[in-house]
Amino acid sequence: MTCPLSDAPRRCPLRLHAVDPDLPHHVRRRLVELGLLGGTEITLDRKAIGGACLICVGTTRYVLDNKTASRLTVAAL
Amino acid sequence: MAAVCNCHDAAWRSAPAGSPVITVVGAPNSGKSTLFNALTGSRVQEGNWPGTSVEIARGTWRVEGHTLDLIDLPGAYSLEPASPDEAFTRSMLLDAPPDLVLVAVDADALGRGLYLVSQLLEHELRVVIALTKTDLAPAIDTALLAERLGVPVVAVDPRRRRHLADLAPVITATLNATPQRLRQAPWGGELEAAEERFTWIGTVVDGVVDKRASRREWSDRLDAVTMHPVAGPVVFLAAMWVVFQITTTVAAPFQDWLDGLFTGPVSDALRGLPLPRILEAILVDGLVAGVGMVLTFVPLMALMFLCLAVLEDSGYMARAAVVADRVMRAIGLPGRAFIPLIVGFGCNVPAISATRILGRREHRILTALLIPFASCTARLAVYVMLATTFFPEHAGTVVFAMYLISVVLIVVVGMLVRRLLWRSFGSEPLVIDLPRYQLPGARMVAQVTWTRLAGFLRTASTIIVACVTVVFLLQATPVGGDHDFADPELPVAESAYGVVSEAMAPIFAPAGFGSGEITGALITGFVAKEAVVSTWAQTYPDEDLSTAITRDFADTSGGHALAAVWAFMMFLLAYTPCVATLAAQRREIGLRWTLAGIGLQLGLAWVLAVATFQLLSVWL
Repeated sequence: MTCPLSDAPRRCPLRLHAVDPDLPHHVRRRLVELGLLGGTEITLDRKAIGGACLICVGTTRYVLDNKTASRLTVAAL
Repeated sequence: MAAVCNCHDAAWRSAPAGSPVITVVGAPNSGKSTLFNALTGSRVQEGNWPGTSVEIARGTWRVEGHTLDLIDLPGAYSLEPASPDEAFTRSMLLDAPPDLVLVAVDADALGRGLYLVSQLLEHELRVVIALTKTDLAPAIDTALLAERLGVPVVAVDPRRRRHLADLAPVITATLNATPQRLRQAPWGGELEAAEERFTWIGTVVDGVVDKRASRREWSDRLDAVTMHPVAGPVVFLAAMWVVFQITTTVAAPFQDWLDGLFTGPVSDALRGLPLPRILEAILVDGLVAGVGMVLTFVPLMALMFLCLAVLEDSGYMARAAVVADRVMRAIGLPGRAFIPLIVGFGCNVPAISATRILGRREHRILTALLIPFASCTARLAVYVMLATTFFPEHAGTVVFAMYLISVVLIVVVGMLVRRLLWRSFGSEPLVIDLPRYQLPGARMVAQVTWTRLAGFLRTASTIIVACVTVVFLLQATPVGGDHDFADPELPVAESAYGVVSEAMAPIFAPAGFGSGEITGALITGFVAKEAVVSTWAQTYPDEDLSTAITRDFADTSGGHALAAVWAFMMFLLAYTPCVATLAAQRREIGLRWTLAGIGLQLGLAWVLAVATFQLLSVWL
């Protein structure tokens, strides 16, 4: 079962299912460059100020704003 | 810029002609500039947050008897540019390839760093990988990684200058090898190509990284506080308040000592020399009174730069960008625009250059127009002088308030300009990588502090000396009466300077500081804000500056001195920061926008100053 990353449970292993193709091209490309592709294992560490999502990809940590995170679909592993 | 520069351009080469050219590249915050500085002994701006280097630095590295020509390029996650600085990096790597590409790869973000490497290997280049931040990352088998990539991998620690010697023989050997294309560029669209590259990276790093290593627990726990919806902004404001308290209270005794030194022994020693009267006047009343007064602010500047360097090297600034994101969003700017704006609180000139990290031209223009409202450290010197004179019990809080007003001004002006000019901006998403917190390194902090302090001293020794000399000459030139040139009895009001200042003074009468003595400093302040205090010091050569300023503000404001001081500080905050900032703006956003910015700054500054005085004079 999939859900938006912004609504995903915290600290559970997740797999990035899809990135909304309607996201602006430069944003999708930046996500790709950071390794946020379909199939990548990620964890939602916590929600930060403004609803931003602090996520872990391997040993790396990123912050995505809530709106962008809501356009990434994840599935629990 | 990208169209005219290439790695082999002799015009900006620092090494002897014919020296092999090595470009240092890497993802933002990969430790690239730290590595460049460690190898060349240069002092490029560095910090533990993304987007620190946007200027290109070039230096020499002497290795095993020969000289290498190193170029530090702006950080890039990939060879597909999303902003002008990334486009420049691509152009420098592919249009006129260097003799070798040294790639800084953050060991703690190995997969992300190898994405750029995977693209470089798709071109005929000599590539060497410097694995940075290995002290923070899980253990990595560099030999296995090198074998799988097909290029040398050397683990280095540029922050502590360790293992740098290991790079030399590898670089020398690679320079003697033939450049090779080690990977086929993937077929298909951009997304398919990226997937193929990350699949390849997955194969490369499999078994290379020790996955048993512990996670960064204390760093993660700290994030729970620094990015908390409530605690995050409180921590941010508290950190800034502490910085201003430290700078104003700790620096005070050092400032007093330096002031005593310049007005006492240094001035007395010069007066004791057998010099012609005019030369003595230039030296004592001009240079020592003016430049000496500016130099008393060196301890304050040093402390401010030190505190900011500690915050930057600790990794906190990336968290501050997240906290500030909502504010940036209100203006319609991306979270990344926080980086040039926060740089602007140090100095507006590099901040204008830092707008290159933004992808859209409208974002760059708006950010460059807002940066002059970020209160730079040159303005800090004037705030501190006025705050310690008029609000001695609350000087730190007054200075902190000026910085808060600066932030509010940026937001309000940003919202207004956006609504007027770019209604269709939309909000930009925040996608930012968080570096691990680290204990600030003494060497790194000292280096960053010194680099910035040296910039302040360069300004003091060039623009301010020029300003001080011009002000002295104008003050020494009589325009009436029976005085000779440089007559020590010549009143300022009867000098050329006094006439110009008095002509301007009525403009500021509604703001409560319509006196030639006070407003004259605003003219030199247009050239550089550091010159404001020095001009006052020259205007009142035989008086205690605090006493003279207190008297003048009281006289011109009709008894509302405190209201007039606030109005003056508001004008100082909002009007044109310095000519160097204007030059940087002209370079980045063009003459038309620069002129529009000057109009905005002067108009807004006057309105703010008048409104402040008229409002506060009811109570103060």
